[in-house]
Amino acid sequence: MPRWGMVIDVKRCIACWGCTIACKEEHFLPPRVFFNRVLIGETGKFPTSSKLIYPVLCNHCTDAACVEACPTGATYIREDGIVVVDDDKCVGCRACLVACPYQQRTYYDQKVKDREYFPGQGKTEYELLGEKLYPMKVGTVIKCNFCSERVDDGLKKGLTPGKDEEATPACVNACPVGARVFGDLSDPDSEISRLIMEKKGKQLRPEFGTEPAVYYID
Amino acid sequence: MTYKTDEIWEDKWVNTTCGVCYCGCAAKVRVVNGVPVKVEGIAESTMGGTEAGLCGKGIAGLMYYHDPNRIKKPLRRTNPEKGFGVDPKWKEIEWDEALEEIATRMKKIMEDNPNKILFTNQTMRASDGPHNHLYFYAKAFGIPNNGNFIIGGGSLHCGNAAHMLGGLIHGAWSIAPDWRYTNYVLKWGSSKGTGSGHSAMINARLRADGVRRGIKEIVFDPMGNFAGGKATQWVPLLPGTDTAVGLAIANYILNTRGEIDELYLRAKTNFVYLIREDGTFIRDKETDKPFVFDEKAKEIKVFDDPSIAFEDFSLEGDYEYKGEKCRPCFMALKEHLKQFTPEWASNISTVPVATILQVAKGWVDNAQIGSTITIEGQTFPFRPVSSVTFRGAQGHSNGIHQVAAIDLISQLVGAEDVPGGTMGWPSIRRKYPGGQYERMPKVGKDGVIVPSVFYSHDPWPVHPPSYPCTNSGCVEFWSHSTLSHIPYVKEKNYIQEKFGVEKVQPEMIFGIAVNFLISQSDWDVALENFKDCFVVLSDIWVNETDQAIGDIILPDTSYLEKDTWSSEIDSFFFNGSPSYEDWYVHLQKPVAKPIGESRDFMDVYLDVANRVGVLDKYHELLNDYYSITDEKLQLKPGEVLNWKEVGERVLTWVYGDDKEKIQEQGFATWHKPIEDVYWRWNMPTRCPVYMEFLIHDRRAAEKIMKDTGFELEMEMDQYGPLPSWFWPTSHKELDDEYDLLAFSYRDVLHTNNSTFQNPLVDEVSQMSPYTFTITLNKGLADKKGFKDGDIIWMENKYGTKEKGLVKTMEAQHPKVLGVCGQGGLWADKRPIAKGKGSNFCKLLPSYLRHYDPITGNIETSVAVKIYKG
Repeated sequence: MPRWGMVIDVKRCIACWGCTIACKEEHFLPPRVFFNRVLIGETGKFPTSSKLIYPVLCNHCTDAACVEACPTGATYIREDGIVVVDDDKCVGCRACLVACPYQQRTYYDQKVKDREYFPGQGKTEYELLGEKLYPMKVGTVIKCNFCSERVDDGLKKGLTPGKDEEATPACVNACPVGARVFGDLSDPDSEISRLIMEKKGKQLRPEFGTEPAVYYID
Repeated sequence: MTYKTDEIWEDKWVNTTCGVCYCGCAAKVRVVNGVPVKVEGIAESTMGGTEAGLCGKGIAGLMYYHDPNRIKKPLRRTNPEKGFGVDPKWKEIEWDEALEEIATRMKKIMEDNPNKILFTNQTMRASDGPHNHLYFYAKAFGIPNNGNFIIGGGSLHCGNAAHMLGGLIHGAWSIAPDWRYTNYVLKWGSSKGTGSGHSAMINARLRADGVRRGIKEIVFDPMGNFAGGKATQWVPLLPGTDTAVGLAIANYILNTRGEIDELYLRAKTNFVYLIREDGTFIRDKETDKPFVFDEKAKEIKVFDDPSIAFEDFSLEGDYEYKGEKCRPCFMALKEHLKQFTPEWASNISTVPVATILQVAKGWVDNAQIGSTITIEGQTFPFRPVSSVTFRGAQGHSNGIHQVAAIDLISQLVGAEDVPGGTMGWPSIRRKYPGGQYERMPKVGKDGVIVPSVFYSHDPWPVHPPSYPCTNSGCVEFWSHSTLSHIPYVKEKNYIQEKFGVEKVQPEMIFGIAVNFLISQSDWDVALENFKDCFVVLSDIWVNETDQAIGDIILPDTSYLEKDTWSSEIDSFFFNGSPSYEDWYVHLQKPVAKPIGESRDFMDVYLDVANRVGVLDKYHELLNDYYSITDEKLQLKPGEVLNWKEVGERVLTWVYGDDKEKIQEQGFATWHKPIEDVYWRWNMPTRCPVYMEFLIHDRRAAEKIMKDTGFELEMEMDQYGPLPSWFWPTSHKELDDEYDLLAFSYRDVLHTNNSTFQNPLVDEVSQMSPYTFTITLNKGLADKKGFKDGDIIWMENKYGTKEKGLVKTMEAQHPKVLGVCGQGGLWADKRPIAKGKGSNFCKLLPSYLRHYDPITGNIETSVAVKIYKG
């Protein structure tokens, strides 16, 4: 069984927000809801300061705080390591929102659902179609699912996630500078494992002990 | 959460070309039940980012289709009063009524003088349509060069100086590092590879691979954000002072280290041409060719005498021709550069002496002068150092010297169009195998390259300034302004009167996707200069210019609805790859039906030409532009076709038997021979790095100014053959009160102001700390008592002011303010854009003295004071 993970090469990243926006289109996310974000800041003092760019998403942790916090078992870790929410079981208590140290979860309520990309002008065909194609249940928590639909459908077709576009998360496909690599962490020969080994991949806030499946290299 | 598929009756991907910025990357769009829902790149093509990669704003392009604010029917102003804050009182009218009025007005003006009509477009939203057609469309109306009036040109957002030298040195519109082979890159006010500039995602992809390979990238820039923030080393400097650092580095290379690529300089530059004391070339009376000295034969010969071996062209020596003393102009360069010490450059630019020396040393150490590389069995000089610039550094009143100094660094070590060096691209466009359309540069007078395709007029051969000028752009006088600045200049009427243009004052503007009132310079000057024209604009929204001065607004289709078969053919010089990778061709295919009654502006062009009676002439010009010689395919007199039907003919010509295959797929790729990439040593051209023509131009310009009593301030000393130091006008206006230099920069998220109306871009812009704010160095902000979130006013010396939110940054020079592009928008029909960010453009004063006297670049930094709002 693979363990899906991602490497983000911050040296390559130019903060174009392609990952963020591609993810929104992939999942028809309403305004101001993001499964992918880009954190931009700087460190140091003039004139030797450096710009910091960290694209962030759900870390699909091995020891996920959100899973521990969930009282109903709605949030769980699939066999392939992807952390997902079963919206039939989610009661919207939002314990996971508080528990996630990476702030990667959003509560989807009627107000969020009602948001319009062109406020006061009604929903566009894109938004209306999205609600049909990718329905989200009001009163539940939503988050990045490593595009598990793509991964699952791709595997069924005999494709390889991380290699074949159709089986790979949208943010990885979208990146114009090849800064994202998706693959199997359990395979020591996979590109992702090799990159983590060679470039000394780091996880965000390892002190939380959550064991993220998203690694950063620079 | 899972996909529900039971309601899908159509789910397809359509290959097309992105239309969100002028780069036009490969794009494919997912269409579900007739609705575009997702945009990606095309993995099989190299015209764009890595694999299916596309930048954020490209992916967000979807919203151009879905925006409910799109214009759905032609609009007619009913309020005769024009201006900012005036309600145009739009009335919807029928297409026929709109086009009849346009055509009737045009015909009337043409009876008098067709030069009174200005056709214009803009690179604001421009790869969703043909780039070059404007010029020969205007020709069909009897307007020879359209006043070189393209909105965007000669202005804040374009690069007259960069394009002029790109054309003269590389036969190309722009330059980029050879990312694949370079090791050491100097970027000067340019974000090539980090999100902006031509071929933006192509360069970004190639740069990312280069960075992973370990190249060093040193960025000279007032702020360490897009380019500087990603650099190996960011070197803060004052805007417009790049020349000083560049000249100090050149001096180090030539006079301190003395390590130059002599063979290159002898073989590929005009530094070997002999000059007399006044700096002009000595020419052969019969052929008018410049002379050189053959060291082996010890004889003066014309420059292209085939008996001289490259290594025998003399670079140094005192000679005599028919009693007149002469010497290679390289000697003038060598002496000239001695004055530019690192200490001097440091005082001007604020870059520490040690940094200048470190960068200069790194440059020479990495240049590997004398080395070669063999690729695909062919051996080329290997110079893995590259020095590139674009809008930032060149957008100053000393623009041509900025670009020339930056280029000189590459020239001295022979790093021009060779593996690892500075690449002009694309100088060549090869025809598709089995097709017919090919664009090859030529070798012109004095051995200088003539680009195959260029906007407006070619940079070479130059013509000296002359008058009377025949159009409002006065391009006869400003003969090096690729795109004229004069329509925006405060003293426009004085200039046009002096240069005899009063008889062609523009009466009508026909523009495509333009927003020139608020995106150039001083808004009030632009309003004054254009408000009396009858203004017809085609766009997808009613923007600020439309609202202020538009008379008729025509609803255009967005790129997602266009069948722009000419997309890449026409704009290849915006989106070519500078690297050794496949050639490609791309079409822009419609992915959805036009919104409302919107019509592709090319169909409108054809309709208007037909109504005015110039369609046959336009057909002739189209045949000529695409070089169609097959009679069956030529557009014939009397034919009335739409743009798609025109495309059927042209594409058969361009792609031959593969036309349908390419139309179906939307693109094609094929092998690019290595010699098409590194053409420099295969083409008998010489770079005109000694700009001798400027000596003659100065004489001609000064005579005209004297004859006409022209008294406006112009820095005529800039008309010199060698890059020299001139203070930008913004620096001259600094004083104790106006103590900061404001500058603008391109944010990867935005294409000038059009993307401000895109809600997907807007919401991430709000998360980006710098996009909608005015950035200030943290230390400066502390000193002035400002903190993040404060509202401040920026005010220039002429009383123009703009407000915005403060965001402090460490990575910013403590003497500057940074503003991203063109916010501060107010058009009522673009509600997402309204009120976002700050408008920098309005702060730029537009007196003639604020423009580069040679190329017409506006000074793009401005002295301001800031105070709390």
